[in-house]
Amino acid sequence: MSTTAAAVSTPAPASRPLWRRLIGFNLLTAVLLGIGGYYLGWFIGHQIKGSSFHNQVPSSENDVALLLAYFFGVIGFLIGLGFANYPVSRMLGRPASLREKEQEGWGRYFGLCTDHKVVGIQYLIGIGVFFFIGGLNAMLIRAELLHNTPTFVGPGQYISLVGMHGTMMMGMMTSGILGPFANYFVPIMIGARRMAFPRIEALTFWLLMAAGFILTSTIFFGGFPTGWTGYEPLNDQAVMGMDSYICFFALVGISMCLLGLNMMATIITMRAPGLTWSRLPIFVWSVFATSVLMVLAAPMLVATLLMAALDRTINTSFFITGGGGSSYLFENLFWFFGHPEVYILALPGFGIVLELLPVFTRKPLWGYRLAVSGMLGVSLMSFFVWQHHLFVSGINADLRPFYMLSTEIISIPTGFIFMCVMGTLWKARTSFTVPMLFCLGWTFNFLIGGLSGVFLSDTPSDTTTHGSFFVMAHFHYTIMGGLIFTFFAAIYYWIPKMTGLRFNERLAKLHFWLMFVAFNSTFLPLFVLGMKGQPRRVSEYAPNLHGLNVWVSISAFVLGFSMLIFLANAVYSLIFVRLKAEQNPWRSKSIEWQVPTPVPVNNFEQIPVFDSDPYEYGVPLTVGPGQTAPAGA
Amino acid sequence: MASESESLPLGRMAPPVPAGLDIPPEPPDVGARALSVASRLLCGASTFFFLAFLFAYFYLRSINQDHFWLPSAAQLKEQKELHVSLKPDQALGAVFIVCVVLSVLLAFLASRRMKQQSQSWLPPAIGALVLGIGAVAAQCIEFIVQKFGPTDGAFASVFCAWLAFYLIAILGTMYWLETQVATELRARRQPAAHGDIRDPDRLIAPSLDAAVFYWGFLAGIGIVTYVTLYLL
Repeated sequence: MSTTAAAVSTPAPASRPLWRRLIGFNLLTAVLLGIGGYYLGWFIGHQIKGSSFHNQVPSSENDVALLLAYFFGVIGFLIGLGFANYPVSRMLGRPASLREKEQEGWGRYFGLCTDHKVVGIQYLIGIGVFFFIGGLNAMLIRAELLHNTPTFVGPGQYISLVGMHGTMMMGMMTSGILGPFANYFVPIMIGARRMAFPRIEALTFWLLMAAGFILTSTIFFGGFPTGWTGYEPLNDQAVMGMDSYICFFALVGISMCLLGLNMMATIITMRAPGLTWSRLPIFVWSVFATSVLMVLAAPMLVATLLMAALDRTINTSFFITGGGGSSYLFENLFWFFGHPEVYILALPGFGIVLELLPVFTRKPLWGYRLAVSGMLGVSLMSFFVWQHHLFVSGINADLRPFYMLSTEIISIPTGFIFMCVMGTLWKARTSFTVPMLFCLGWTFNFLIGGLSGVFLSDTPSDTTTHGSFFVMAHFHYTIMGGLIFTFFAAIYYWIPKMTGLRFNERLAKLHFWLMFVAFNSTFLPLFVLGMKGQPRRVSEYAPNLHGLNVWVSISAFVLGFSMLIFLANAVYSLIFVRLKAEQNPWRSKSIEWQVPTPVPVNNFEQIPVFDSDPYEYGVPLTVGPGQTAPAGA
Repeated sequence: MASESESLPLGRMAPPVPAGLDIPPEPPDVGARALSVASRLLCGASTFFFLAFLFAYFYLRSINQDHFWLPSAAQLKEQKELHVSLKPDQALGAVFIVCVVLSVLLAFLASRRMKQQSQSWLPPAIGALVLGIGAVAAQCIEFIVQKFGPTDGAFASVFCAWLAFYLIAILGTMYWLETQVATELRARRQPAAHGDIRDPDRLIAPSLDAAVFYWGFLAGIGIVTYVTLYLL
């Protein structure tokens, strides 16, 4: 808005002493207020329990207190960061401003910052930390499965570990690509200086961090026995650790919905002149398609978890059979979110691969419109397939053919993406750089994930393999093979732009090969284990499966070690040696590589005017009148 | 072909801007469009949020597990529940929905007057605000006087939870509306406090428009809520 009060460009603030910087709205205040809020909620919860709810809450458990503690804790945390300042000032009638004044230096990474590039880096580090916690859980799971009987963790702890791993990965990695890379690059790619709602952008990040801590705190409350799906009636019967799960996923849902809303509003309204929909970078299209799912599916998750929280605290009867509820209702509502969630994870990966392939094949993207229609088709259809998760959970038999067919049909738009990848690779002279290797790794992994998915969409074969390691192998091929490989492709590709530094290539290639081989060595045998009947979420298995399980566990440890190589490379290359990157090391045509590194606060001196699409590799250059011929990289 | 393309210059997606061509830092209507789009997206998100409750309503009603959709007085006594009537107060329900509808009509009037650049948009906006709060108050009274609680069967659970979250949504929208009214009141009282804002109405208009659109949509959800919970 032209009439807003705050200036977009800001002068550098005067340096303040350290003690002065610790007072005010920052992470330290946020943590203190968060702890204070937590204990306030805990106190109120116990007061409530002592009066009107004393007949409804078992004496050893107080879900009311814990949920209130989390609620007040998050509110205190956000107030401490300064998120209440703007709403309060608006309530008092102070005029709207576009965003906070931007600080310089490291301090901005530890507080409310509305620079989309800072938020992108905050996301990358924050999500990275929780990704490693989730990965550590996976290592513990595989360590337990080295023996076919329970050894160092009991069955209860084992299922908690599985739940922690699954929930952490599914929740935090939902924003794995949109958080760091879409926040950082979408505004630049569309020629904008900011996101449409910069404060909301910052809010989504800090909500996610609060959620991550809440989930981690479940270990103090006995964990939860449901896995990442939180199925009823187990959910209602579980100890207080289940409240951590509910609170975590509800916060993730809110964060996800706001992130998607902000992305869509930005892409729709803030594109620079000349950047028509048909010129939009394919990565931006994938973000757009993902955002549609985030805005529509996440509220359903939040509503479902609120119902579950009410069942656990004030004994409503949404999912409690004895009171007129139905656990099957939870499963329906959960999967109505849960299946689009799978595509929320997969679609950004499609975008990364399609964005990077033309750069490393030096060819235009084959089938741009086909790829866009594929992504939008996946988005739309993902709302019509959720019942295939319930083929063996009491679904009306007459409904099975519809959901079987709709699930199989969704492979058509997904096939479009593959066709575009193949078309772009066809007769290309490919540069096997590290990002490209990860993209090729995705091609192989996602193909296996997709093909094995066909078996799970078929009612007869799904009935056989449901609840087995076959399912686990399938979704690890789609989610880890699909999302995590492209996550690393994006890191290796865009880190030079985000930091001006680059990774050591030899270590990066070692990371890729070790990860690719270990990943397949870990998850391919799981198909066999599943076919032989090994169930998920149980640490005990038949003795004849021991050898294969040992193989899988060792492969998983190697996979974990490959992550340590990445971490070591990051520390070595980006912190100690600080390897300088070229301005445009990949010779990309895309606009993010044409702005200076580090990217200025406002991205562009002038809003750019686009006159071509980003994939015109091999197309003779046209230079308009009055324009200088640009230098090729 | 790749081999040919490698020899070509790279080119740029956005060529350098020729000297003398002045492109404004940000088109002036960007903020307004962003708010407008956001309010529509928020409608989508709200629809799916309340859809979960609508689905729960019809699902639980259709299966009527152990006849506990609307349990009889005898069943409730067996459960040691003190309440026996599961009928919400129709009069309070009607007051609630009438307040919502009137509030929306006044909000639309305010928005329309704002578009006509009339200074008289403030009274209907304040009226909309008061009626919106009135709707929340009416429903809160209903929660207090009704003869059942959220534990009295499936209908009672859906009724209490759905309406409680709907009230929170109304309060959020009223906050949005209040910020516009407060900005205008402050601008009239202390014009100097608005710094470089030359025309406060230009600042308020898009936000008011977006808030009114969302409030209208939420009222639509409110009507569905009322019909489902009070009339069906």
